[in-house]
Amino acid sequence: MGYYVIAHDGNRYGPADIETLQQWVREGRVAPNTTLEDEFTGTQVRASLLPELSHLFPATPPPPTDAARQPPPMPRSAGTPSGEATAALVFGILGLICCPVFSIASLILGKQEMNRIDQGMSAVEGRGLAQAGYILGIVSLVIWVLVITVWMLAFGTMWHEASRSQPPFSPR
Amino acid sequence: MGRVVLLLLAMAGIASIAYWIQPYVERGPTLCLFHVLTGKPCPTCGMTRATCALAHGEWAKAIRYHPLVVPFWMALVAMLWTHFVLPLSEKTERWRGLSLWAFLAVVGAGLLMRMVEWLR
Repeated sequence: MGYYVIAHDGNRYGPADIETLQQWVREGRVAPNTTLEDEFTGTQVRASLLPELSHLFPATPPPPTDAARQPPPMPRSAGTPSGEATAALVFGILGLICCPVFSIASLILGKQEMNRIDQGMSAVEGRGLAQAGYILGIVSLVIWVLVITVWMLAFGTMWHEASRSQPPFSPR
Repeated sequence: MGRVVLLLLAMAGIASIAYWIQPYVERGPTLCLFHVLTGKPCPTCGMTRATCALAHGEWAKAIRYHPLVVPFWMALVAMLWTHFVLPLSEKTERWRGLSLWAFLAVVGAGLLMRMVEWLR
């Protein structure tokens, strides 16, 4: 479950999960009177009233610091996709044409990169690549499972028949 | 279920499958599309057979199939650990980057190894 942070300028940031919100509170980015909006229900609540965050705020509000005046992290735009997004796509392609291990790597990398982009920790330009890597990872894993199953059934039966038709010891 | 347990279960699953499919992998034709299309082995060709041999504890055989099998799996597990188990925060970013580069380095070394074979 996540919350959008409604900043003083009216912009919405997130959604951020509880762990991220707690980190933002510790960094002074979320103040007790900051408005949070439930990701699914749209219900708005003050940060200090949320049980998971209330214990992190001091009893008396401290004077505003420079950090408190900073808005929560916005989606980062670096102009180019991150290396991890590119790697997710490359591993996805390698998973299709080389080895199923790359499919696992692309699936995990792609999913993680999408989470990082959602939390403003990576460039938004990489979303397409990360998503493509994630989907390729799933598709190639499914294909590998099917191919290996069919392959084992076909050759397993063939070898079984061959071993039954041969004598156990061949005469010299 | 914790992510550590999930990762351990996935690794145990891979090891079990590798143990079980070894006879099929060693006798059957290649499944590598790159090898089928070009006739040349790809950077990770032999890795499945090497992993199966490792699952049986046959170290020498595993290294003969693919010399980089041990660093490959170490780098892959490190990458899965940093990307799947570690929490997403600025502090863990460095480890994610390092593990990705380590994995890419092993794959790059495999590519160099194969390029030497292709040029022979």
